[in-house]
This record gives sequence, C-alpha cells and structure tokens, in this order.
Amino acid sequence: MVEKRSTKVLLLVLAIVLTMFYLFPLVLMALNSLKTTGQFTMNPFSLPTRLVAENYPQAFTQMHFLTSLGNTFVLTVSVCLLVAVFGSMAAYVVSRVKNKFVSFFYYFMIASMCAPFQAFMIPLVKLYAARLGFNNSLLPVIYIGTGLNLAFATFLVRGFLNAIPMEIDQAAMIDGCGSIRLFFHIILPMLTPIMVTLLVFVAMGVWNDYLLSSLFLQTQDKRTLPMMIRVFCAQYSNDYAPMMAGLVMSIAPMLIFYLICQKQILAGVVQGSVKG
Amino acid sequence: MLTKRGWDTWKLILLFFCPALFIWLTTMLIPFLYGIFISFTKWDGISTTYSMVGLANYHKVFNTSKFWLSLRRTGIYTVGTVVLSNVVALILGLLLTSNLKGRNAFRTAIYVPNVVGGVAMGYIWQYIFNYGFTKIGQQLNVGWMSTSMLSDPSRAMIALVVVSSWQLSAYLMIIYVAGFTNVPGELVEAARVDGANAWRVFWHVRMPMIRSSITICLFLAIVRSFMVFEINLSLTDGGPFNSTEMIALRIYNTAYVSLKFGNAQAQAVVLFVIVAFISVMQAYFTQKREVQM
Repeated sequence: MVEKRSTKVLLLVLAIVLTMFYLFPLVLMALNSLKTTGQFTMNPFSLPTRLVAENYPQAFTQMHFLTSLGNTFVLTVSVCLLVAVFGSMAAYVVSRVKNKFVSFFYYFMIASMCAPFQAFMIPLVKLYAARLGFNNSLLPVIYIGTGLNLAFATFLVRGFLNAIPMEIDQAAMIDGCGSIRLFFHIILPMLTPIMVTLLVFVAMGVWNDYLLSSLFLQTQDKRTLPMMIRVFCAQYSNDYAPMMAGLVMSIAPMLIFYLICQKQILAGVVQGSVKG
Repeated sequence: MLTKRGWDTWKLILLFFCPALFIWLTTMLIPFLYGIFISFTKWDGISTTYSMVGLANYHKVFNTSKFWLSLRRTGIYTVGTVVLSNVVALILGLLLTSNLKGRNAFRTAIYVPNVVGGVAMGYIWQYIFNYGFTKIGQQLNVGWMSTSMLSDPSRAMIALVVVSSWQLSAYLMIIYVAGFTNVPGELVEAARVDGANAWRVFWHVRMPMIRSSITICLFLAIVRSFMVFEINLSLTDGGPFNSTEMIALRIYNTAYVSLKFGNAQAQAVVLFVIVAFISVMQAYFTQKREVQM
C-alpha cells in the first residue's frame, strides 16, 4: 500500500516535470514580453521586476496585427467552408456509388496525400501567379489550400459515411426525396461529429501555414500571421521584448481555439494518423 | 443501356464528385505533371521564355555535392528525430495512460507545442538557445554552454533535432495514448497474476499490442522529418555555413534565392520519389501486419 502510494507520487512528479519541459518556451516568451529588452538580455529567466505593457501596443501597430489577423481569418474560414462542402459531397459519392471512374480517382487522390508540397510548389506558382495572373491575392491561396486538404477530407468523411446504413438513403428515396435534397437535408446533419473533427484539424493547419501564403502574398496588407511573424522577427531582431509580445499575440488566437476544441483536435490527430 | 437509374448515378457523380475532382486535378495532379515538365527546362522564374534542357537538371543535381550533402543531412536529421521523438512519445504515452491523477490535463498541456505554428516556434527557440541557454552556461561557467548552439556548425543540427523532437513527440504521444488505451485491461491483469513484472508486462504484453501504433508513428515521423521546412527556416535558416540546410529548404532556396527553378524542380521530383518510396514501404508493412493478425 505504501509502495503504491509512492509510485503514484513519483508518476505525478514525472508528469509535472515533463509538462514543464513542453511548456517552458511558451512561459518564457510570455514572461519576457512583459520586460524591457534590457532586462531580457540581462536575464531571460528572471521574473519581470515591473510589468512593462508598452511592448504590446508597439508590436500591435508594427505588426499590423489586425490586418494579418483578418487575412488569416478569411483564409482559414474560406478553406474550411470549401473543404467541408466539396469534401463531404465527394465522400458521399465515393461511399454510396459503385463506379470505376469514381473509385479510380478516389484512390488516386488518397495516394496524393503523402506527396511533399515541394513537388507542387514551383508549378503552382507558375500556373496561378504567372499564367493566370493571381498575384498578391488570397484567392489562389484559398483555392490551393482547399485542394491540398480535399483528399484527406474525402477520406475521413467516407469512413464515417460507410457506417451510416444505406437503408436511410433508400427510405428517403422511396418517400420521393431526390439525391441532392437527401444529401443536404438528411445525410449532412448526421455528419456533424466528423465535420467538426475535420474542420478543426484543417483550420489548425491552414492557420499556421507559412510556405503557401508566402509564395503568393507579397505586400504588407495581404500578409497572414505566420508571414507577419517572420517579417517582424527579421526587422526587429534586436528589440526582443516587443518581438516576444508579437509572438504572444500571434499565438494567442490559436491557443484559445485549442483550449475550446481540444477534444476534437486530439481526436483528429488519431483519426488523421491512420490514413493511407 | 443507360437506364434512368444509371443516368441518375452519373448526374450524382457530376454534381457531387466532379467539383472535388476538378479542384484536386487543378491543384495537385496537373501541377505535379507540369512540375515534371519544368524539371526538364531552364527557367529563372522571371522571364517568359525558357529552354528545354532535357535531363541536364537531373544530371546537375546528382553531380552536385551540395545536393548529396543536404540529402545526407536530412537523413541524419531524420534518424535522430525519428528515434528521439518516438522514444519520448512512448514514455509519455505509457505515463499518460497509467493510473495518474489528471492525466487528461497533462495530455492537453503537453500537446500545446503542436498548436503553435512552426515559424513562431522556431523563433521562440532561437531566443532560448541564443540568450537562455548561453546565460545558464555563463553563470555556471560551462564552456560549451556559454556559446550558442545555433552558431556552431557541429551543434546546430543537434538543436534542430531537439526542437523538432520536442514538438513531434507531443504529437506522437496522442497516437500512443490511443494505442495503449486499446490494450485490453484483462490482458495486462492476467500477465500480472501470472507473476510478470512491470518491465515484462510492457515488453511482452503492451508493446506487441500497440504494434500498429508504432508502425504509424515511425512512418509519420520519417515522412515529416524528410519534408521538414518551417522549423528549419525559422530556427537556423540552414545556417551556420549551410550546416543545417535540409532538402526541402534547399529546394526552396534553389528556386527563390538562386532563381534556378528547373534545377529546384528536379530536386523536388527526387524528393517526391523518396517520399513516395517511404509511403509504399509503409503501405506494405501495414498490410503485411494485417494479414498476420
């Protein structure tokens, strides 16, 4: 009994130490965002002697925080909407229709999920920016972001749809319901749990994406948050305190989102890992 | 004979499947094929004209020591990250499925590094390496610790492996937790009753039961490490002296710094072949295991 108690305490201590290891960079960042740069360089580990709030407004204006936040928000919401609509519709067909054309392209799409983005990077820029003239615009980023997530969405939703019995479809059909109405009025509402998992997962990826956005967006008014972090950190590389404040502000929205949706996010990690 | 039902089916395919197919074709398949074409050309990314050079880009890529060096670096980085992140994730997975108070809260907290994007993460760690660890080193008078790891070509790679594993292990932990949770409790109990100690229960009961999780995590870590980009860019930017320039960053730099798009695309095709090979291996191993069970 005594030994069991001590192992329990030991496990708890181990868990706390490990958790600290995973969180200390963020804690350090938050702490130092409240100091002056002088204090920061003198001792990054000390507690702030007096709270310096100026870093935040300074970073807020210099980063054009609201603009980049808005751009990131528009990008993420658009991609999520498009992926949800087109992905679930395609998944419905893949799940319900036995057709060689459909299954051929479905497996082709699944196979493409593992391809490295670098293989598409240059041709995508050449096609969309140079040929079609979508320069410095969020549109190609939204469209391509959708394309990169569609295969995963179709795969994930199909698995869920396969577990919904065909009898539901047939009953609705007998009642004279057409396939379009059947999908939007009966099937889609049943997909809510998997859609939440899917969208939360897609949203995290799109929100944090740097490379794709940086290929198409150039001017400051179009930059997304990850791009802004990079520009800001390069520009103010000697003024650490405001930089830490900028990092805190850029991370905060996703962190809040995570704390709200943690259950779905962690479920998405497990479901997303078994693809292929 | 296209019956009414057959026609309905095609209508459904056209309306529901083809939009997704069109987006996928125009963002993945067509760009990919176009990319193969680009890899046979010489193009600076600015001019509207380009010239066909056949296999010259591939010839150049395979005969450039920089390419091989970067591939070797990626290999070393991958081995380091895959081993470190999986070992840590296994320990975490075991710990967080044990009889621990508040284990859900610990899982939530440990996963946090994955919520923060690679760019921000890289910068935060950059300051920790440059100002945090060096400060500790100076205070404790430890010579090697008082200079930044990131400015030392022989240690920058270690820093990169540590930061990547720090993030990736938290991700893999979630998959291992799911794996360990699915191990039937009776099985562990039966082994204990038979007198197996904790180590034997782990090695002979739990480990074989989570084999599929291990396969998933190993391949996930391999593919991710091979394609590493954002942390590489923001933590070390390939430096110092190119000592940490991994293949994905090298492709990016060849295109957008050296403006050799044909050459960069040829490297990208090589990276694609490598990743495709790894994925085929994964499918093979996963399938083989399923047959066995």
